[in-house]
Formats: sequence, C-alpha cells, structure tokens
Amino acid sequence: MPSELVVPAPRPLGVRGSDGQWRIRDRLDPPVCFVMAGGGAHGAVQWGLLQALSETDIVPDSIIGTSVGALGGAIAAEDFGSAVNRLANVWAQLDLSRLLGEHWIGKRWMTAALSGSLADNEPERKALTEILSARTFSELTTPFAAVTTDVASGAARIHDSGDLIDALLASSAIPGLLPPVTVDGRPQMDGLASANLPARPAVDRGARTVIVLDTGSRPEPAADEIVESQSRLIGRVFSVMSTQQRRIQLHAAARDATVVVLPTPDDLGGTLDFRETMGSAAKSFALAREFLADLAGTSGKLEVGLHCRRDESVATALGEVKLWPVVAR
Amino acid sequence: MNDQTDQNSQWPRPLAFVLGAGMARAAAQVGMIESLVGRGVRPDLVVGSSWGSVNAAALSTGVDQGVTGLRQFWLDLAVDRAWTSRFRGVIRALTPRRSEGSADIFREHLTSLLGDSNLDDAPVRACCVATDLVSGVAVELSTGRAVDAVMASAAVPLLLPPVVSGDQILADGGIVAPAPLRQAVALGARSVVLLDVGACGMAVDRARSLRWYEAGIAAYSDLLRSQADAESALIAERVPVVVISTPPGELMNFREADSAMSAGREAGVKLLDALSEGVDAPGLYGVCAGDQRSSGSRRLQSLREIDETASS
Repeated sequence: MPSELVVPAPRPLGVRGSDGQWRIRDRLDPPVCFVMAGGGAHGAVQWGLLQALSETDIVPDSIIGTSVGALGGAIAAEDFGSAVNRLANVWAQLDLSRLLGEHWIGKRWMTAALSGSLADNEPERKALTEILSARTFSELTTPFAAVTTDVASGAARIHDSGDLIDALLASSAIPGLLPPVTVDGRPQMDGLASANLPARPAVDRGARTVIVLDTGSRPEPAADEIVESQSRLIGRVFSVMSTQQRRIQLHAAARDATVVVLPTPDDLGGTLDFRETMGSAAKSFALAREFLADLAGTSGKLEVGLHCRRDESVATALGEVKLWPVVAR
Repeated sequence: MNDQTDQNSQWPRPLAFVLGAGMARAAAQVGMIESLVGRGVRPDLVVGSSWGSVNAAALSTGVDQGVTGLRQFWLDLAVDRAWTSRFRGVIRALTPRRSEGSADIFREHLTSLLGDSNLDDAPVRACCVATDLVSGVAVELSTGRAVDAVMASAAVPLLLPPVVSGDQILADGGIVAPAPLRQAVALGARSVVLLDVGACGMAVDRARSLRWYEAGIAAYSDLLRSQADAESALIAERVPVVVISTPPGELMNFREADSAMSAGREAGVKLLDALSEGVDAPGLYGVCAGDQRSSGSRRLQSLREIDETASS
C-alpha cells in the first residue's frame, strides 16, 4: 500500500496580517540568521521549511549553511523572494548521478582503494554552476557564509568572501566520498566533521535570533539492526555523533541568543537516497507550518533560549538553557 | 621545581583525573599520571572514556599499583603481534566475526592488568563511560567487573565489537563523551585534571595526500575533538579544569607505547611547573603545545573564549 498523502489544510490557525502572512518578525530581536544544517538528500526538508517560513513575515538578515544546507542557503541568499520556487525546481531534478556522475562506482573502483576519494567532484561543480547564477559571495543579495572543516587543523572554517562555487564544493565534500577542495592554500572538507549545524558560529557572527533549519533524521533503528553489519554500525555511530554535536551547538547558541528550532520529520530514508525528496519536503512543510502558526498564536518578544516543540529536549540535557516550548494546539 | 615538590595541596577537593579518548595514544596518559604522582598529586576519583577507561580502571585498584601495571600493559600490547599487525587488524575490522578475535586478545591483556577486580569496592572511586548506541546517550559504568566495563567503554567501532547488555548496545564512550568532564562533576569533583590525548591536526602537505579512508578517520577524530573542546569550555565555567595535552599522533599505532608514555610524562611535568601557583578559580588551565595547537586544533573555540594560561 502506498504511504498516506501529506497535504496540509488550507488555513491553519494563527494570527495573520492583511497580506495573509503570520506576523512573527516584530517579536524577534534582529539581526535574524537562518542556520541551515547538512544532511545530503535530507536537504529537501529545508525546502519544505522555507515554504512554511514564506507564509510568515520572517526574512533573514543573514544565512549560514553547511554542506547541502550551504547549497540551499546560497540559493536563498541569491534571491530570497524566489528561493522556495527555485528550490522546488532544484529538488525536482537533483539526484545522486548529478552530484557524483553516472557511473562513479563502476569507473573508479579499481583505483578507488588507493585514491583520495571514491568519487570526483566535477559533476557536482557542473550542477552548482547550472543551479546558481552567482560565482562569488559578493554577488549574493543576503549576506551568506558556508562552513567547511579544515582538513589539517580539523577546525570549522567559515567562508563568506571569494569564490562561491569552491566554497560550496568544499562544504559538501563528504570525507572519503568526495575530494577535499583547496581554498586559500588549505584543503577543506565537509563541515559535518566540525559544525554540521552551525548555530553557535551564527551567534558569534552577531545574530541575536537564530532560525534553525535542520534536515530531519532516519527512524531510530532497533537494537538488532545496529549490530547487523559493520556498515550499519558505522552509520549509527556517525548519526549518534551528529545528534550529540547538534545538542552542543543548540545549547551553545541558546545561552546567548533566541533560537527557534523548526520541527523536522524523523522517519526519512537514507541520506544519499534522492527518491524521497518530495515526500521529505511535504512532511517538513506540514510540521513547520503548524509550528509557525502556533508560534504566531503566542504573544510577546521571543526571549533568549530555545524555542521548540516540547519533545525537543535536545540541548536542555546540558542544563543552563532556558526552554520555551511551543505547544501544539 | 623538581619531582620532590609536593603539589598535592593545591587542588580543591575532591580532585578527579579524567582520562579522555585517543585509542593507542592513551598510552601517553600513563606518563601523565606518573608525572602527577611524582609531585604527590593523587586523585580522589577517576573517570575514563574509550581507551582512557583502561587507565581509569587500573587506577581504581590503587594508584601506585595501577601505574606499575599500566606501564607493563601498554608495553605488552605494543609487542603483541597478533594485536598490532595492520593486515590482521584490517581483516578483523571488515569481518564482524573476526572482530570478536580482537576482543579475545584485548580481554586477555585486560585480565592480566585488572584481574577480577570490581569497580563497586575499588580503593579509588572509578567510572568508565560508554555510549549506548540504542538511545544515543552516555552510560556510566561504575559497578561490576572492571574488565567488563572497559570492554564496553573502549569498543571503538571496527576495532572492537560493541557489547550487548540487556536493552543496551554499549560501544566507545568517545562517541558522545570523548572528555567525560560532566560525569566527573556529577560524581562530586571540585577540580579536574583532563588527561587529553585527543588532539587532532596534521601538516597541510599531509592533509593534501590523505587516502579516502584516512579522510574518514580524520572526520571521526575531528568530531570527537569538537565535542571535547565544547565540553572543556563548558565545565571550566564551574570548576578548575587543568588540561595536559600531547600533540596529535596516530590513533592506531600501538607499537610506540614507550615513547608515547615519555611524551605524556614530559607534558605533565611541563604543566605542573607552570602551575606552581596552584588552581582555585574555575577556568581552563593548560600549556599551549607548540605549532599543532596554534594552527587551530582547539576546536569550536567560538563556543566560549578559551583562556589558556600559558605561563611557561
């Protein structure tokens, strides 16, 4: 049986202005930064989140992203007004062969074992130049930054000037799969190894309000699935690490800024499976739209701390962070 | 200052030794412990994560006896060819049943170090931190056989198999707690020495020539590092955290245990010399360890401004 269709109702509850938008912006301390996490094919979730945000009056003063979040962020930073429509086009066409080439395994497996990466980044470079018109950060209309991991030092590095395509290629260079990209003489790889959800860097760069656009997750595996094979085990280990890193980032950001975490689906497929991207976007749109309607229904300034669904206890486990649950009605 | 100096009185008590993740590099912690004990600095409790748990469990049986046993443990492991053979290691890593073979070798070495000692009634209070892969959170092991606790805490993916325990699947504590400082504070520590062997970083030229799997390993240790740095900065707001660090090195090279221990000892002595004033206020105390560190290996520095008192 096919899964249920996800189609949100036409007019959810909430306070709307005469233009039909939910009024939230005046209750946020500027500057407002959109933080877009990495997550491969799960990046389509952010398309749904931006769809939901477009029903509000919230506009970013800056955008920061890692990996696929950097790609979506760059599209939004080029022209925020058309971001949702353009992302729809991108996600309708994007798949693994556009990013890694048609026969990347077949062609390379003989030499891959000893090479620097299993795939080449030329196909992705081509795709990026087709998707984006801008070639440098300065051509973007909203201030934008992309996060990479410096291979030599292992530290997060933030790129906000110079060649845009190189920075995006570097930010999404999944360790082992895609080759590191040299920027300013130093090799850079995927920001997932240092700051996959760069919420604290956003605050350090001056944001008073951070809107978190995460990429959702796969269902929690059953215990016997985890130990089924070495690849399952490694997959689970990286997912646990990335969840922990997310907690740390949200905690560190929410101590000093207003952090709004949009809800995301937790029943997605593999992060390199591009067949379900439409479904991921539909689910996240529905979740975020209800959340934003509920948020619009509250009153007063959004204070420093973590604004999220009650079940999102992520960062509070570390203590000292104020939690402002946005209750579903 | 020399090894006769007693620096035992300069710590708010209880004092915890926290032994962080670093696989083969955890051998350096033995040298660090020797330098501390040489100045009369003894822990009231010890907390280990990942391979640091080997050292924590041994200290729990008594500090002096523990240090002697540990030196022998790491030297024995270094010359055990069944353990150090890279080829056999790869075969074991890629075939789940063979990684049980690694477990047998490791358990044998651990048993000659720890015997059948228990953590419950240990002379020095100890806790080994593991990660439950089902719930994704840190689990504190402070009861039962020390060998079993270490087997779980040190079960680094692909090196050793995870340990199934009831509803939990226990593996490498480094996954969520590479520097288990909050666990030490929760156990009552009012000052902490972090024995840090998780530094990462390499020369830019080396970074250019990584093979694909080496890039994967680098990403793994970067993830550990960013967590450890965030944790140190956070806990240093509450209690003094003194960090002894060794420079980056190979995670899987068990053969160089002897020189690792010497390097650890040297780092410890250098830090203790710098700490002649003692520690009282919360904060991060450490000595900058040369070029590697200044090239940016202190990760997520942005989380909190880190005040390194480089008083040497």
